[in-house]
Amino acid sequence: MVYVLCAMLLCVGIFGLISQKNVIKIIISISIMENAVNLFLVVIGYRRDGIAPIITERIHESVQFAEKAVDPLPQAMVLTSIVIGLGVMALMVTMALRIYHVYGTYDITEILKSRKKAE
Amino acid sequence: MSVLIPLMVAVPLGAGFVMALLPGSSQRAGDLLAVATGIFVLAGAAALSPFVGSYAVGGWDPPIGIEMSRDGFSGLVLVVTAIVALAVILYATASMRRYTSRSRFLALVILLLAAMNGTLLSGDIFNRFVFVEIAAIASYVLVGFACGANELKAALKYAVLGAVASIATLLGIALVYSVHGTVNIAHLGEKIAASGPVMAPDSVVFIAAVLMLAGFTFKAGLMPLHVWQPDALDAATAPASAIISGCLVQTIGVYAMIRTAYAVFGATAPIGWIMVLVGVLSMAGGAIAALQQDEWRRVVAYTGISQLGYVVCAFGLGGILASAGNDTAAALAVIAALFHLANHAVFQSLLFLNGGAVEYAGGSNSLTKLAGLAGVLSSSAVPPFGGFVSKAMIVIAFVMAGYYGLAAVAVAVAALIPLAFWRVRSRPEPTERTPRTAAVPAVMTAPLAVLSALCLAGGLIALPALRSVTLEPAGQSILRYASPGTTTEQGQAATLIPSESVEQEEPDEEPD
Repeated sequence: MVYVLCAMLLCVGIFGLISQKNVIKIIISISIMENAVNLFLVVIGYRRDGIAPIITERIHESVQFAEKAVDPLPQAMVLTSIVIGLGVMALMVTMALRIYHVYGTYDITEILKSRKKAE
Repeated sequence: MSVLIPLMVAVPLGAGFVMALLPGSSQRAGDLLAVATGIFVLAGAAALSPFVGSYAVGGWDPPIGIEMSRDGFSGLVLVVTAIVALAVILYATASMRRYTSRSRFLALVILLLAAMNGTLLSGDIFNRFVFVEIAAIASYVLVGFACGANELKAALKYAVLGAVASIATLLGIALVYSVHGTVNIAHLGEKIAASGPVMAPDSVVFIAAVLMLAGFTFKAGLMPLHVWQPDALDAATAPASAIISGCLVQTIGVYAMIRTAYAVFGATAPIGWIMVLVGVLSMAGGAIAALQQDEWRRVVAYTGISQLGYVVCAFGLGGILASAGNDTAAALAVIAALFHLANHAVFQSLLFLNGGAVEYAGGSNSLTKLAGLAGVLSSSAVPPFGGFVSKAMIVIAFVMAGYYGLAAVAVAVAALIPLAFWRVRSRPEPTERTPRTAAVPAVMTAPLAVLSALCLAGGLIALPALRSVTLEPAGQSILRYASPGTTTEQGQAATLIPSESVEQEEPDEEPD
C-alpha cells in the first residue's frame, strides 16, 4: 500500500521534472522524487506492531525482541539522505536566484536558449 | 597504518572547513593550508601503498559498523587523484588571483578531494553514496564559481540532472538493501553471489544494478548521460575543469561504477554487456561529437568522454571474460583499463590547465606549447606517450579476447581523436576574454611541466617491474570478485549487442 504511494510520488516527481518549465517547479519536482525514495527507505524498515530497536527493562525475551524490533538502519540512512537532499536543495535554490538576477526569468527553455556571454 | 585511512578523509575535510571560514584578508594562509593538505594527501596515499586492509570506523566491526578499506584498486586511484589534485591546487593558488575569494575556491577543491578520498576508501555502498554526493555538491559549486551567465546555466543544468542521478543511485541502494539487508560491499557481494549464479534480468537486484550503474554513468559523464559535461567543463574555470575531468569523473563515476559492478554484483555477463554498450557508445560518440566542436575546451571535454569510453568498455569486457572463465584475457583487459584510467587523469588535467595558462597569459609561449603538445599527443595515442601504450593494451586485450569488432571500433576511434584536435589546433590562442599579456608564474608552469613529464613517462608503468607494484595488485583486487561460471545470460546478452563479436563465445562454457 505504502509502496504504491512511493511509486506514485516518484511518478509525480518525474512528471513534474519533464513537464514544468519553471526552475523553481523543477526543483520542487526533484524534492518530491527525493521524498519518494526516502519514504521507500523508511517503509523497508517498517514492521507491523514493531517496537523500538532499543533494549529496555520491559523487554526480557531477546527472542521476542528480535522478532518485533524494527530495522534501525534505514532510519539512519534516511536521516543522512534528508540532510544531503537539504544541502542540494539549498544550493539549487541559490543558483536559481542568481540565475534570475542574471537572466531575468525562471523559464528554463528561455535560459537554455539565450546565449549571454558576459553579464 | 590503518589509522591513516580515516585521516585521508578527515584532514582535508577539516582543512576545507577552516579555509572556508578564513577572513578575506588571509588569502595567503589559505594557499598554504591548501598546498599543505594536498601534500599530506599525496604523502598519505604513497604511505598507504603497501597496505591492504580495512578500518572499522567507531570501533564497530563490519558488517554492522562503517568500514573503510584500501586495496590495490582504490590505492592506485588514490595516488593518481592526489597527484592531479596537488597539481591543480598549486596552479589555482596563482591562476585564481583574478577572482575575489581564492581561498573559497581552494576550500571547495580540498572538500572535493576529501569526498573523493572517502569515495575511494569507503567499504559500504551507502557511505560511498554520501561521499559521492559531497563531491558532487562541491563540483556543482566549482562549475558555477564565477557566477557569470554561462557558469550559472551550466551549474544549474549539472545540479538538476545530478540530483536526479543521485536519486536513481539511492533508489538502487534501497532496493538492494530491501532484498539483502546489508550495505557493506564485501558482505553484500557474498550474499548476492550466494543467492544464485546469475541475476535474472527481471529480478529486483538487477533493476537495482541498472539504477546504480545509470547513476554512476551520469557522474562519469559517459555517453547517454553526458549532457552536463561539455557545458560544465566549458563554463568552469580552468583548474575546476581540470579537477572535474581529471579526478572527479574517474572517482565518483568510473571507480564507483567498477566497484559496484564487480564487488557488489560480481560483474556477470549482463552487467558486463551494459558497460561495454555504454563504453562503445561513449568511445565512438565522444570522438564524433569532438569532431564537430570548434572550441578547444569542448574538444577536450568530448575526447575525454571518448577516452573514458575505452576504459569502461575494457572493464565491462573484463567482467564478461572473467565470468566466462577466461582469466588471462580478463586480467589483461582490466589492467589495460586501469592503465588508461591513470593516463586519462594526467592528460585531461594537463590539457585543461594548459588551456587555462594560455588564456591567462593571453597567448602561448614555448612552455605552454610544449605542454599542450604533450597532452594532445598522449590523448591521441601517439607512440612514446602513455596514452598510446594504454590504448594499445586495450586494443590488444580486445583482440586477444576475440572481440575483433570492438578492436576495430577502438582503432578507428583512436584515429578520429587527433583529427578533432587538429581542427582546433590554433584555438587556445585567440582569447578576447583576456586581451592583456601576462607572464605565467612558476607555480602555474611547474604543475604543467610535471604533468607533461608524466604524460611522456606514463607508458613506463607497463614495464614489468613497475606494473607488478601498481597495475597488477589493482587488477587482482578487482577480479577477485568476478565470479566464474555464470554465463547463462550470454544468449540474452547477444541480443543487446548486434555485432560480430558474439560469435566468438567459447562453446565449452557450462553454468554450474
